[in-house]
Amino acid sequence: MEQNNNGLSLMKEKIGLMMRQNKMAVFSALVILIIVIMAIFAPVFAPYDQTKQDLVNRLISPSFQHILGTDDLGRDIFSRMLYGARVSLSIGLFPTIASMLIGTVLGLIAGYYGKKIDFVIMRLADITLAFPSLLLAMVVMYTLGAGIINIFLAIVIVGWAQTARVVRSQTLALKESEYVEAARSIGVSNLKIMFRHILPNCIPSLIVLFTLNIPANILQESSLSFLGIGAQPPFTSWGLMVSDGKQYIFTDPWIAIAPGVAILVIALAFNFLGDGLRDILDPYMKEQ
Amino acid sequence: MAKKVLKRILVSIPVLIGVMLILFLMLNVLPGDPVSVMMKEHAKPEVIERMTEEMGLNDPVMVRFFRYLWNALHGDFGTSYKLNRPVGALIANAFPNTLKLAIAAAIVAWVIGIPAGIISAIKQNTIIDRLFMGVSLVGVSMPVFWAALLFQYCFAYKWKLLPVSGVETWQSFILPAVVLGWSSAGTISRLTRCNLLEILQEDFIRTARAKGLRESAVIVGHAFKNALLPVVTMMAIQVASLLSGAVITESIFSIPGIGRLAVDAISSRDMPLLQGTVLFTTILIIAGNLLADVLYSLIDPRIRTEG
Amino acid sequence: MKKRIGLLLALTLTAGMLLSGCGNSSAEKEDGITTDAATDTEAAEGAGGLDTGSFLKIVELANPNTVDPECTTDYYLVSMNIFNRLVEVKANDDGTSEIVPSLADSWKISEDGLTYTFKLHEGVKYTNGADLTSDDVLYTFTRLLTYSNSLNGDIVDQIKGSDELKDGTAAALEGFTVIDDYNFSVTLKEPYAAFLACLSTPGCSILDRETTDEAGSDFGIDPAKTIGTGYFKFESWTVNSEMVLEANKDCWAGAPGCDGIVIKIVPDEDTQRMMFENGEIDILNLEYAKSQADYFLESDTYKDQIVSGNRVGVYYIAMNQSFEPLNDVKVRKAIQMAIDRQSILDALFGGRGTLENGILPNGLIGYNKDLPAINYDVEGAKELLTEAGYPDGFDLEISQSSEANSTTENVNQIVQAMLGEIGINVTINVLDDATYLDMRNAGELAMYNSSWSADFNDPDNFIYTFFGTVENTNRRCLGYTDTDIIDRVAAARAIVNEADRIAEYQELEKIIIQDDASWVPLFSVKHLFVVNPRVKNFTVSWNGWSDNYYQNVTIEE
Repeated sequence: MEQNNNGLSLMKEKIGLMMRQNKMAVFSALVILIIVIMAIFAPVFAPYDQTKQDLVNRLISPSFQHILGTDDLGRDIFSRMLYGARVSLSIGLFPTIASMLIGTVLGLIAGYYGKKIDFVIMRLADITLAFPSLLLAMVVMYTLGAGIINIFLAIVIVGWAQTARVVRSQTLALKESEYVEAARSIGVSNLKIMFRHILPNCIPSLIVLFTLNIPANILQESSLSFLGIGAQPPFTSWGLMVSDGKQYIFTDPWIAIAPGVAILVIALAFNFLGDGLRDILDPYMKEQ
Repeated sequence: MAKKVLKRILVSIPVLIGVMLILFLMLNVLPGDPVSVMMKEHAKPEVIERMTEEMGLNDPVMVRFFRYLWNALHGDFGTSYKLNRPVGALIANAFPNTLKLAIAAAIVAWVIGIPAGIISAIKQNTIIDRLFMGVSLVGVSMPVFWAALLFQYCFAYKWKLLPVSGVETWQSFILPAVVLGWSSAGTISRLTRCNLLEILQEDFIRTARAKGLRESAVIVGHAFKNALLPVVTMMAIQVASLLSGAVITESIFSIPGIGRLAVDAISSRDMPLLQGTVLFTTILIIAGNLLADVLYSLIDPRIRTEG
Repeated sequence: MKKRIGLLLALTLTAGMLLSGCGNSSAEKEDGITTDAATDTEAAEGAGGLDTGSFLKIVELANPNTVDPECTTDYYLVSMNIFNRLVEVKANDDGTSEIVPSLADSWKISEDGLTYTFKLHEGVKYTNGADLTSDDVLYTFTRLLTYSNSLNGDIVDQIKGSDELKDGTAAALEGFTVIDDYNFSVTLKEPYAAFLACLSTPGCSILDRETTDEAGSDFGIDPAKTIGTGYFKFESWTVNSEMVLEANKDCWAGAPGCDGIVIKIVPDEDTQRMMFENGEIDILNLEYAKSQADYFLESDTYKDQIVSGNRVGVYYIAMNQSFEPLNDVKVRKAIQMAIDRQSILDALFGGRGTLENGILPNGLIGYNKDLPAINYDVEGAKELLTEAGYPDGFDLEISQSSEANSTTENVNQIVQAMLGEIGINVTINVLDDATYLDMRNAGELAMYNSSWSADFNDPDNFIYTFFGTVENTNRRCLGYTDTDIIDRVAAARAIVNEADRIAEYQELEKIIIQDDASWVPLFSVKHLFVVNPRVKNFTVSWNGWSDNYYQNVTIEE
């Protein structure tokens, strides 16, 4: 592990290396970028109003009018997928950021201060990790009620512990280093040591974790949608679209296949990108 | 060593109690109550009141929590509201199905994950690396229920090679095991690949190479052994996490296992059943982690688990 | 190294004990979950070693709580087939139905409509050999009223002395007189024309005093202890997997047409459908697989294998008058007119059904096909809203359970879009099932859609349930305010003359639904089943339930 606070600039170099070595990761990043742009500009790209029903033209096969056909209420599937991408991506992004922020801070504190506070935080993390994650998310969803905001909360509650563990173990290793000792001896404040000196060294691992958590959370949402407690109308997510379209797999398979493939593509892209980043940033980081 | 294990076990106890307490509290802020779920359309206020009283739901949370713990220590996990049977017996009967599924899935995960990890490590950054990692990552990247549906559709419905669902024959377990196992193959292949890459950098491998050994001999003779140790110790953790990952797979393939019980329990506010299933899976996960730690330090004395 | 291995062993053992610990202790107490009428060793095989190859194989979505007919309100499949009632309902080919003798051979009703005297069929035996007597009927009625888990007490709460028995001030049911082993009479508090129809509901299945009492809370759970007089006996039940009923060849009414029934429990509709097409199950309920009805109707293999019946029930949207602005009749009328019910029926049910304009649906006694149609009229609806002072519409919430089926979800989304056309901004509020039911029972939902299907063939089962008491209308989130009308609904129960009673119900129906617009009646539908060609003589229950009687079904290989 590099032990200077120059982690960020070193990372840039390494990413450059990845771009040369790992075309797959670059391609994945491109795919993600395209999907993100299409989601952000959904109203521009969407040929139809995603909520506009047409009960006469329901379950239409893909055609020039509707490139991915229409669903059981006659809504244009392509348009719904663009809007669904917004929800799915948000679910991948925001709760992941929130849970990792919480996990990072708690992990730093636990690792740096040790003793009782470490014990408490780590036991809390143990408790969280000991729960079967989907069950915990389900209990949270049932407690709070279905809805996007609550999915965010459920994912944060389930997700912080893993980050906390990773950050804590790196902090433990770093705080004994000569370099941190030196900073401490010249009277640098604890807060400054944690955030200026230790945190930057954790960033590579955090980036990898972040990239890999995004698809995991998108999939988590799809599981919750399958169980009826994920995204709710009028919002739609890819997970909800697959879950709703599932019943038409025999007669009108595109309804479930299209959003399913979308999830597969974005999750695969994030996974490849994450692995690529891991290869160069943090080659020996072990799986949780 | 024994001391350390004992310490780990002792530390697990407050974790378990914590899990139960958090679950208890969370379920108590739930607005709906189990009695009206049980009775659906026809619930009458006086009947609801009577049953709430009989089920002891009017007592304060902490009273109920300690009563639950006390009874659980005596092997009484309560009676499921929804299924009207003792929770312990329900779990005991569901567990073999879940265990079979989890073990079969673990095997699938290894069969896909380990070769993919090895090959892609050896051929790092080539098209073969991407291809093999890709195959194992596809599993982690699909919604489980979607994959399950496609598999059922192709293998059971279109080509009629396997049963659609159930637990009657061993063939019935193939599809759910592939779906579930594939979804965790990515974890295995990543771990294998990382370990192998790491070890290929190490001095003793370099020495072996320098001695002029063929690359394949280096890999098979030296690297494998060391790289696969941690993967094998993953077994315990893997089986435990598959146990909890089986929730959706069990629903789609109609496997009467723990996951089904848990889903039923959550949606019908069946506290005793939910407590029981979560307690049980949590014990499994903790035990799995513990076992993995111990196996790891037993097999490879060089490595000591930290703190 | 030795030391290590020893430790490893010890650990594995501890872990093993931890894992199996929960199971063993209680498994010993109870003989497991595969409760089986045969021996315990056979229990592991589910069907108790029975050869179920020639059995009818059907499927259910969920594992029921219990098969005790008195302790459920939504699951009667097993109790319909292992018990009998005093009387049964027979569906006629023309869509009407009548009450026919079953365990009761005959009955007489006194002039004043208060006393019913029954004569039981002689020589009826339970599957354990016990005889059916009048005392069992008394036991059944008493248990309905007093058993702590009973949910169906209202079936017999019109009997004189039922309240006293329930609250413990009387030890016996005053209105019930045992004349001898095969004759008894029942006296009501006041005339109640639907009484006989009530006795035909599965909830009023006749139970054996001795075995039921002895079984206690195992009754309806443990097949060996769940004894009836019916065409089938309850053989085994493996939780979340399957239930097996075996033919009762010695049944007093004759042996059933097939050797038995395997009821598989498969929670996923699409899995069910694949199982059906693969021949793993014999009958597929297309209500669970609604989106697939068209496929089967159009398929050459299956189009002649469809069996259908009218579901005697009405889909409706409740509008709660305790919420602003739903308290304004003009607003409610506007909502009635803004919903294009035919489009919904066409889109969701392929048009297989009848638009309903009241409360009493097609197929029910008292169905009034001459009720004026509620027309789809967007402009008219807008005018009404303007008159009511909401030219720009308003916000409205429609609630649904997270476990709602896709029909409920779709109806809500369509309604949301249709009401949007007249400026009403509808939000769909998804609540988890428990909260949804709690709030609904407390009358706290502004709007929801649901359906109600007949338990027994009488208008009372519909109109009283929703509008018979202030409490009833509140529990259904209707908040109906006209207490005169509510009193008339309650009083109609006691009208002895059948024609007068029906006329009164029809008048009330028109006032409540058409004048007061207190709910949006949607439609009643055909209930379709698709059946494997090897299954013959399958018919849908008179009321179109998912739970059916199977005694006439035969299997041809």
